[in-house]
Amino acid sequence: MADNPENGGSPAQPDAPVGGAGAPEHLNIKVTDNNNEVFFKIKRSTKLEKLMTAFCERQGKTIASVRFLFEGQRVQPADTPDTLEMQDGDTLEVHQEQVGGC
Amino acid sequence: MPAQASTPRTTRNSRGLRRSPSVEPADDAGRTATGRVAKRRKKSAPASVAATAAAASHLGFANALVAEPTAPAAATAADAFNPANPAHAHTPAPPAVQPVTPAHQAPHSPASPEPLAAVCTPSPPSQIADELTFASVGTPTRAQYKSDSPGYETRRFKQKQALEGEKFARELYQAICNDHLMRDCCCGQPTIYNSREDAETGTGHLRFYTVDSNRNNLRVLQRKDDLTHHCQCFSANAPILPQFAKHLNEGSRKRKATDSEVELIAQVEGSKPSKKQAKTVERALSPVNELEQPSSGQSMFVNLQQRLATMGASVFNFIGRTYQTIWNANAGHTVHDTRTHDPVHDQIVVKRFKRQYCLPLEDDGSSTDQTKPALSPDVSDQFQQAKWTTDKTKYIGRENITNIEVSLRRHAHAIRKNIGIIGGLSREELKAALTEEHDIPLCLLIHLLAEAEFGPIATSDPGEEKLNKFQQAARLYLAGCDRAISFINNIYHDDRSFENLRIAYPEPRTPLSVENVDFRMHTRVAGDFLTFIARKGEDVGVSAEARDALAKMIADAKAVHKQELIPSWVELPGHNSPDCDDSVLDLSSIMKLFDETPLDSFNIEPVYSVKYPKSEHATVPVVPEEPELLLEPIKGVLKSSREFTAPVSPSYVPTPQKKRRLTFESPVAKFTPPKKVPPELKSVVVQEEEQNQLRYYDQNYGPFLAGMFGDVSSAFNERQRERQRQDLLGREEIGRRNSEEQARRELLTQDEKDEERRREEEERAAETRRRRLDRERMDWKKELREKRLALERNPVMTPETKAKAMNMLSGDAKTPPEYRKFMEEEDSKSTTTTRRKLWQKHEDDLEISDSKLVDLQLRQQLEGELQAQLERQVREKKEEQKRKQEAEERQRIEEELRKQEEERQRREEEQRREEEKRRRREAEEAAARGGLRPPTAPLIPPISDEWNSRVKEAANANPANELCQTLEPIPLTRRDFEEKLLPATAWLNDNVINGSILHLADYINKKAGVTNQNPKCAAFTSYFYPRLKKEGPQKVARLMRRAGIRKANFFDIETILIPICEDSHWTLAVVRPGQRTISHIDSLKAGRGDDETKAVIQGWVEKTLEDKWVRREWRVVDLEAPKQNNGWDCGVFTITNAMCLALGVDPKAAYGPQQLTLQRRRLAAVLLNGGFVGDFSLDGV
Repeated sequence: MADNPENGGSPAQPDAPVGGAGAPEHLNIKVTDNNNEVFFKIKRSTKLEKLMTAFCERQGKTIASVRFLFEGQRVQPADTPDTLEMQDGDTLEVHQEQVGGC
Repeated sequence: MPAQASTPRTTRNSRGLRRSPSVEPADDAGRTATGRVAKRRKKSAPASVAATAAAASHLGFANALVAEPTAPAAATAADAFNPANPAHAHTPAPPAVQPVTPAHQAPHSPASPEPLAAVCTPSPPSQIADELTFASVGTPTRAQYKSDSPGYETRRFKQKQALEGEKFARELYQAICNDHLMRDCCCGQPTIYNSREDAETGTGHLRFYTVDSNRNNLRVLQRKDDLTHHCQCFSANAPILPQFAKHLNEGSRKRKATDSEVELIAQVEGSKPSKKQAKTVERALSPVNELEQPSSGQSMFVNLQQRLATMGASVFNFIGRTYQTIWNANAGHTVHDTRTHDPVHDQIVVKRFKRQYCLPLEDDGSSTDQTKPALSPDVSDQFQQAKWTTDKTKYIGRENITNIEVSLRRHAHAIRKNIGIIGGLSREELKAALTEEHDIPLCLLIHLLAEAEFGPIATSDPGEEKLNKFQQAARLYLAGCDRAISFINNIYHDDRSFENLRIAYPEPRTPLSVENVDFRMHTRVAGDFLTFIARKGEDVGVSAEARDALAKMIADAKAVHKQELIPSWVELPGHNSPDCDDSVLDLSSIMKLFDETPLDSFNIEPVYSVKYPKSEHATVPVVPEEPELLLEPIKGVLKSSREFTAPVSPSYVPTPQKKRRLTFESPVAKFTPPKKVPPELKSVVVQEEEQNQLRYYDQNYGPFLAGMFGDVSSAFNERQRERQRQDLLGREEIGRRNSEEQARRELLTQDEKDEERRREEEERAAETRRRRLDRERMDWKKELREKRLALERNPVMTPETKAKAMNMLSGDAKTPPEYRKFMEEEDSKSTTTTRRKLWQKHEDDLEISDSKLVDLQLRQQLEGELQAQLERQVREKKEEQKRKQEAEERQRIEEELRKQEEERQRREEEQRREEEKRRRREAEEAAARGGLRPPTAPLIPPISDEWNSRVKEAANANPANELCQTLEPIPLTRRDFEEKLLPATAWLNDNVINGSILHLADYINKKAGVTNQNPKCAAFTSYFYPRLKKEGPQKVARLMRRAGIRKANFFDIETILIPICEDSHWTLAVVRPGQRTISHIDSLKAGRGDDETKAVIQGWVEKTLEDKWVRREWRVVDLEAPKQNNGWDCGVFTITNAMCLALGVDPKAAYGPQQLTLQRRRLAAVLLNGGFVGDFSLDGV
């Protein structure tokens, strides 16, 4: 099941070769927070922190109050597309910080 | 009407004509009329020349004659004289003012050049006369209904405009003017603004404005909510004046409704015809109202208007009165430089500039020698002495008045009949044309008036224009004549108003209101006209005497207008009184009187001097340096209060000092015995008494006592005397005697001393024995008393025995035997004869029986005692037995009670044990059901001080610093601690929840010795559930992989913790594959969960297990957990519940809601510590 998005993602991107290994140097990553969609093109080895900061700056949000999730997994600043096994065209979801009390 | 006056059209021209600065003060008064005339031009006479030309005012008319006609503005104001325009007359002239002659009335309609005349009501008579009556009366009332909201061109008006074209607004304007006139409204016509912008910012119900400076192109604005056209003064509903009413339907297309028609109209209007209704109908039918008050919405509006008028009546009254007061106070003078100091007379004077008709004379040179000297006090006093005159014409002179009147009438007649006047010529032409046939002065005057009013008339001007100017000037002249004639009639000939005033006021006074305000306005115009004549008279051959008379007349007119004393009507000593030869009062005297007046006569008094009048203030003229100009301090506010002194009353007694009461000292407490005790001092009387008593005893009983007691009495006497002596001598004497005694003793021989010592010893021994015996006796007595008491109480003895025993105990038995013996010895030793001895001598025989009796009695007594003792013993024994029995009884009861108690305790114990057993059983059952057990150690123990301080440090750390990392790893910063965890009411965020729960799972797995990929306790982050719910179970593979949950190891896992954040509320879903249970713990519901959530989780489990899923094995259970009772702790509940379930502990038994504040700190410490290790290990729980 976990392989589904990976396999499904490649046909959508005809340029991207199949599989994570030997993938092109650059990835197109969509970052969305339901309202906005921003596309980033980054290297596989670039830390996603850069992307996160850029997105937050563009949207005028503080990084502490948002959560970047990749397939439900929290993205760490130090993560790279490689460590998350991201593919070209993958989506980072931006969620608000979850807070609850009552 | 400032609004009107301020419009440029109205004043520019007249101003332009004016050159003399002295004219300025008159400007205000002149403006009103100017504006009105200017406006009038619009509605009247489209045929009138030069629409853009300025209108001439009366002021302009007057002044322009003064000035050289050089001003370029040469517009005509032909419409100003349009006799056919009924709107000209602002107020109908009162009959008294109008010297109505048939000849005067005649020419009005044929001369009308106006095309609109047909629409208007026929003009009333004497428009020309009314022409000049405009005054500024309307100005203040206009302000009453000022409304600042912008106007709109309403649909109604637009339709009308479209229907009727340009003339609509003009006709409306005229209709309004007519209505004002006919209802005797003094408020004046609506303002005509220069542009729409002006009109929108202006005031009034209807605001007329011109388009493109084209006077004919008039438009009108109306406020949307305002249907009235009229001002809301009283006149709005006033009936039409009778003189107009009869003309109402003349020459009109409309006629008055007949009675039958009224009914018909009323039916159409849908209401019963009433008187009011009929009136309204009548008004509606009239041509005037047809335009201004369309029938739609009229009835409602009429009511509203009436109501408003009723409601506003008092306000209007008040405003009217106020206005009248102000008007009277100001009464047309302009006050400049109100207070000046006149050094000559050393007083404050007020300079009042008089109206314009006086000042041009000054410029003319007729009073150049006058420099407005201050009025001397005696002159001002003369006003106080003024009396009503007997002959009103005396001051000016009857002939003079008649001359003037006759010539004016002649002029008027000549103009009306066009006899002997020529015009329409320039100056040169006129000079050439004038012949003997013509009335040369009149022609010249009309020409001068025309030049003054309309500018210089050149020969080259078109003849038609010149003629037009001439005609208008002639009309103006005619109007002036009529005004002046009416003025002369009223003031000098007609006695009516004079008599009225004289009756009303025995003494002349100011303000003096002659006739009504209209008349006074007319009089001003007349004054203007007369001024013109007086100024120009010299040129045209008016005699000096006549000019003098004119000047006085002008002064009268001015006084009428200003409501002052009319010089002709009063006799001022020294001026026009009979006893004064100064019968010819020249103009300068008048100036003197009226130009500068002492401040006092103005009654302008500072408020403070009214409030704090000074006695001399009335007489002494005000000196500017006088300190009363300073405001006196109000009493009691600024003045320091006087110091209070005690009342000087004779009965005043100062209050006693309380201290005295406090310093009271007990004399007893303070007593110290004197060193020398004084002898008892007896008063002489007492001593004598005692002496007497002694003497009495000596005398009466002395022999008997001496016989009976021998020396007893003498000894007694001796002792008595001795004591007295001692008392008298005092202790000193005793001391002295003692020392004497001692000295005597010293003198004694050894033998004697020995003897004495022996004797003393004996005495002492005797004394000792005696004392002992005394004591014994006392004891004996006591014993006896007791015995007697015992005897009395003896229940056994018979009364006889008792009495005997009592006898025994009395008498000598009182004395113990030994003592008695001693006493006897003593007695025997004593040399003195005692009574006892006497008795004993004779009672020897009795002694035996006595002793026997005593013996007997004693024995008896002893027996009694014995018996009593026995009885007592028996009684005591009985009591003892009784007590014993009681004690036994009690003991027995106690024993029984104890037994019962023990029984009860035993039973309770059993019960408790059973209870405990049952509870344990239940717990076991619950545990068997959920696999949960009660905790074996407190779940939330307090944390150490060290950790407390570390938590505090974390809350105060640098916000940018990373304080610790969770297992994900997510860096935690100060924000997560300070804002999201530590405050007691903070809402927890995902970092804290996920961090804590991952640490928990890690602890369980580490403790079990398994890896997180083959966990005993698996934990998801809070992002799992939303994704699961939104995307479905197939999209959470990555998260499951990360949590180490696979189909293969699913049943090896004991607990799967799923924190959920939904709608700002943290809950926990728990899957326990070992127990095959799915639960959802919501702390707000005390552990019970949400069915939908459970279904989602069950769907995930089902999907994960695929073929391993056996539906009937799995249960969806509700677990019990402490209930959250606030709005902020759910996150802490979630984590704590997760801890319990991961440990397999029953949450309900493990903690309570009150522990959660501590738990917050504890969780912070755990996060800082990096998991449940070390100090925070959950081992043992």
